[in-house]
Amino acid sequence: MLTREDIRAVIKDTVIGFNIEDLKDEQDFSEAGIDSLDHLTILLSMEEKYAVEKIPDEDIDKCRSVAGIVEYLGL
Amino acid sequence: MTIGIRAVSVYSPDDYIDNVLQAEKLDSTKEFITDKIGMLRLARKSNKQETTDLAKLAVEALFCAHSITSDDVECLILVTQNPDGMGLPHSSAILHHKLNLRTSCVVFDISLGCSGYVQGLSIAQSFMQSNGMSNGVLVTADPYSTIINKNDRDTAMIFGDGSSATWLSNDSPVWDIGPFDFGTDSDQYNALCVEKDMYLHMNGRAVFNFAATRVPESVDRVLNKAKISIIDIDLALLHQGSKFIVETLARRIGLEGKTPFLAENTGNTVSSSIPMLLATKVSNSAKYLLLSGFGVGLSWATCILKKRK
Repeated sequence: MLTREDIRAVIKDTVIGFNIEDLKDEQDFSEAGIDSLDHLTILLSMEEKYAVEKIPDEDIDKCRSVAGIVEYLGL
Repeated sequence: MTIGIRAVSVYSPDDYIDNVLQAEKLDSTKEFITDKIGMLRLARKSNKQETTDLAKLAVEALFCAHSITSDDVECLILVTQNPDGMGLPHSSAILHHKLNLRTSCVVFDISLGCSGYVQGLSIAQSFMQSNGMSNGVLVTADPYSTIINKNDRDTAMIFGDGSSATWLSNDSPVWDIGPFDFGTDSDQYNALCVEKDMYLHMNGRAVFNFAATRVPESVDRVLNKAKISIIDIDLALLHQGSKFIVETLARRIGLEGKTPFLAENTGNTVSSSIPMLLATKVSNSAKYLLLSGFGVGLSWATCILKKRK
């Protein structure tokens, strides 16, 4: 099952040059310097690596932080 | 002797949009353009130029730079989804007229987007070989500036105008063509489409996910067909959708450092992006090239080019 730490690991692996230690769980990705294309890569990597069901387009705004993803997926 | 690629010429308009300035107007940033989109300028045709005018300039560049003349051309195939006028007659007939090609030269259009060059290579090669032809030209010209809403940040910062002409011949070709891998994910056919407002609309997430997952699978299949390994590939000429997608695919395919990005000053020129790479980025020592186009449909086409000995 996907955990908060798994999400952080995905971000660390997929966002090139990003220091994961700088990201707070509640922080909006865009405020942390993670742009829209990085965001798409994070979501795709979660789907591929942890078999997370695809988050519908209309819901991805709810998943713009680690905490938001945790809450959306009910982890 | 089988049909192969003998030469490629391209045309890019002199006029352009400064994409960094445009990004500010669209609530984007210079960093996003330079680091992710990668396209600092978007080439723009003049309002007076039709698709076949762009195509004509690429073919004339081919005639000027190489030993092929208009009298040599037995077939001409034009890849475009933005034809002259209303699309009837086919734009390749108009191009035939503008180039003063011989009456016995057969021409037709192919309606494909970013996968069009690679699919076009297969169609042209097969058509020429089955009809005993020696010299043909595959042309790409798809000026998306005619269908871009300049206020749509999903599309306005990406596409540029350009054209290419590829000389296919059984006489002294430089590159043998094939094998190929093709496919269509039609569940997402509307992820890139012109809607009733006559503007292009793009679901960026759908297109990104499609490319990031389908292209690496296609590369594996084509390598298996060719009975070569990824380490045999000297250069991968990937459709220049954006700097980000090229770099993402390079990592996923395992070809980092071998996937040039050439769209800084042109933008994404749709079916012309791969021939633009082929015309300028390939060293004489390269033996195997990997080509992959992906986009509208959503479709993909991947192939191997092998240097003729």
